[in-house]
Amino acid sequence: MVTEATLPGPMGSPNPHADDLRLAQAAATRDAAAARELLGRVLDRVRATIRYVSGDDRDQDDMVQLALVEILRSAGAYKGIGALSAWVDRIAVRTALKQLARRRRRERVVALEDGTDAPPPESWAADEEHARLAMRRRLAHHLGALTAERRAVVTLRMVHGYGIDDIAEMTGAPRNTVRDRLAHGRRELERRLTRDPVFRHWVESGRR
Amino acid sequence: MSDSKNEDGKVTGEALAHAAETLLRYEDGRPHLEPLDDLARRRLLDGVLARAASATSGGAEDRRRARIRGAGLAVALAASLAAIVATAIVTGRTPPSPPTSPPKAALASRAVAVKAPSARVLLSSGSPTREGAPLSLGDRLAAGDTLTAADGRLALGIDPGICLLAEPGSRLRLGRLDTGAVEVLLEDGEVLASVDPGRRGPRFSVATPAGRVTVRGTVFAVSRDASGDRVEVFRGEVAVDDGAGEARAVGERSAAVLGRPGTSPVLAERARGALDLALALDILFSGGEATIPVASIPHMRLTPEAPAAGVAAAGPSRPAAVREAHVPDAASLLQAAQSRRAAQDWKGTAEAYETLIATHGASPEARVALVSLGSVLLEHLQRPQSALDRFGQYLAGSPRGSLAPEAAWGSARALARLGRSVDEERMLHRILTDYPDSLQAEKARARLEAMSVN
Repeated sequence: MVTEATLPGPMGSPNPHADDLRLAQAAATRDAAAARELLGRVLDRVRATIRYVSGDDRDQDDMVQLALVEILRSAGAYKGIGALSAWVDRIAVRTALKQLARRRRRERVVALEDGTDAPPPESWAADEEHARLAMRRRLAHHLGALTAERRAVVTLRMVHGYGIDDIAEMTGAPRNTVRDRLAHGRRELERRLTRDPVFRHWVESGRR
Repeated sequence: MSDSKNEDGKVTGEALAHAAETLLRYEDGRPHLEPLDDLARRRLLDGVLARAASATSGGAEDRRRARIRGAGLAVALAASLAAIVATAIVTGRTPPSPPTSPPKAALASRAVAVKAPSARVLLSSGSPTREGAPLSLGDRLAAGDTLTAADGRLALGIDPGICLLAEPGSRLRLGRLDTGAVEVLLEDGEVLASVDPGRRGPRFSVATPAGRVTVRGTVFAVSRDASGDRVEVFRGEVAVDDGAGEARAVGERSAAVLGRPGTSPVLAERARGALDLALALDILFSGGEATIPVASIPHMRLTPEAPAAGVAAAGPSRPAAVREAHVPDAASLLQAAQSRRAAQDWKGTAEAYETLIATHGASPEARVALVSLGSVLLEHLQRPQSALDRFGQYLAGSPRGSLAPEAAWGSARALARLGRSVDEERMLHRILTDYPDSLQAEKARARLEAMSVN
C-alpha cells in the first residue's frame, strides 16, 4: 500500500519515517553499530508488547530475544511505508504467538480457573512509579488467563492503541474475529479486575 | 453517586477496565516496565547479535547441507570427512579467533567446547604479584598460581565467560583450571565475579576456608576478613556449601555469611557499583574500552594494546593497558545518545553524539553517529549548517558507506534550508549518479522535477 509517507514530499516535509528507514537499511547490511542502535531503539517497546501478549510468561525473555533476532533478520524488509513501531509490534506479537503455540503443542496446558490463580499479594510500593510497575505486572498476570489470540488483540488495542483494521492486518485474522476477540477479552479482563481487591483498592485510592 | 461507582459505592468494572487501559498505554521514551540496567541491556543486545549471526551462519550451513544432499551420498561423505579433518586441525593448532566469518566462527565454537579454560591478566593497578614475582598485563596464569593484588586492583579474564576483579590487599589461588572445573580459592580480601549467563564451560566456584560458592550466570562478590567469610549476590543466584548440610541458594540482592544461617539484603548503592564494574569487565573482556572506578585513582581508562609475547592477538584474548582518564567506550556513548533520543531530548542527543564522535572518531559507532547527529541537527534543532558539516564528514570518510545515500540526501536538504539552491541541485545530481538504486535517488529525482517547475 502506498501512503503519503512513502512519497517524496517537499523539502520542508520529509518522509516522517526516513530516519527509521535509513537505520533499518543500514542494519540490514550487517552494519553492527546500526544493528545495535536499531535494537536499542525498539527494545523497550518489544519487551512491553511481549510482557502482555505472553501474559507475563516464564519464557518472555527468550521471546524478546527471538523477536529482536527476527527484527534484525527482516530489517531489509522494512520499507518506511508505515511507522517502524507498527512494524516492530507486528513482529513482536507474531513471535510471541508462535512461541506460545509451539509450546502448547509440546505440553498440556492446564486452563486457569477463576479464584485459583490469584496474583500474588502486593506490598504497597512507597513510590508511585514502583506502584504503577507492580500494577502493570498484575495486569499482565490477569491477561495471562485469556487465550493467546484474545490477549494479542487486547494488547494491540489497550497497550498500543491500534484500531480494528490495523489489528486484523497485524495478526492476520478477519476483522469480525478481531472484534469478537477484543470484546470477549475486555469482558474477561473486566471480570477479573472486579475480583482483584488489590487493583480495586489501588484505583479507589486514586493513586494512579 | 458518580458514573464510576455502583450502588455500594464501589468502583465499577468499567471504571476498573478504563484505569487498566490508562495504565497499560505504552508511550515511546516513557518508563513502562522495570528498566533494564546497562549490564543487562548490553548482555541482552550482545546475545541477540550473536544469535542473529549464528542464525545466519546456520542458514548458510543448511544451504550447504542441502547442496551436499543433492549431489549424492558419496560427495556428502567426502565433504563430511573434510569437515572432520578441518575441525581437528583448528582444534589442535589454531588459537581461538573472533568470529570473522560464519564457517570460522562455527569451527572456533566447536574448538572452545573441548578446550581447557585459560586465564590471563586483564588489567592491574599497583604492584600485583604471582608467587612474589611481578605480574604483567596479558600474563597467562596456571592452576596452582597464587596471586596478590597488593596495593591495587587485579582483573582476570578466564575463558570462557568469567571475569574476576580482586580488590586491593586480596590474595587468591587458582585451585583448578581444567575441563572439569574452574576453582578460585580466596585466601584474603575480596573478589567480584562476573559470569556470562550464556557461557558453556566447566563449573565455576569461589571457595574460602569456610565454604564454597558455586554459580552459573551471575554477578557476585566473595570476601574474607576478621568478621567472617561473606557472599553478596548482585545478579542471578549462587549455591553456597558451607558444611551446614545441603547447599543453600542465595538469591539476587542478598548477602550471606558462610557458616551462618540466613541472608540479609545487599545495599542498593553497593549493588549498583558492582554491576557497573561487571559491565566494565564485560566490555574489557570483549576487547573494548571501559572505565573502572578505582579507590586510589578516580577512574582508569582501559585500552586494548598490542599483545604481549605468547598471547593470542585476536578478540577477547587481547590484554589491556591502563591509563588515567575517564572516557566511556563507544557503545556506552551510543547507548546514552539512544536513551536521550528515546526521551526526545534532542539537545542531549546531539551532545551525546558529539561526545562519541570527539572521543571515538574512528569507531563504527561514530560513523553512524555522524549521520544520526546530522538528522537531529537538521530536523529538531534547526541547525542546517552544522548538519551539513556532519553529513559532509560522513561522505568524506565513507563515500561508499551504507549510510552514504542518506548522508547525501541530508546534505541536499540542509543546503535547501540554507537557500543554496545551486549547491543543492549539484548534490541531488550526485545522488542520482552515485546512488542510482537507492530510495534517496527517487526523492532526488522528484525534488529536481519540483525545482525545474518552480
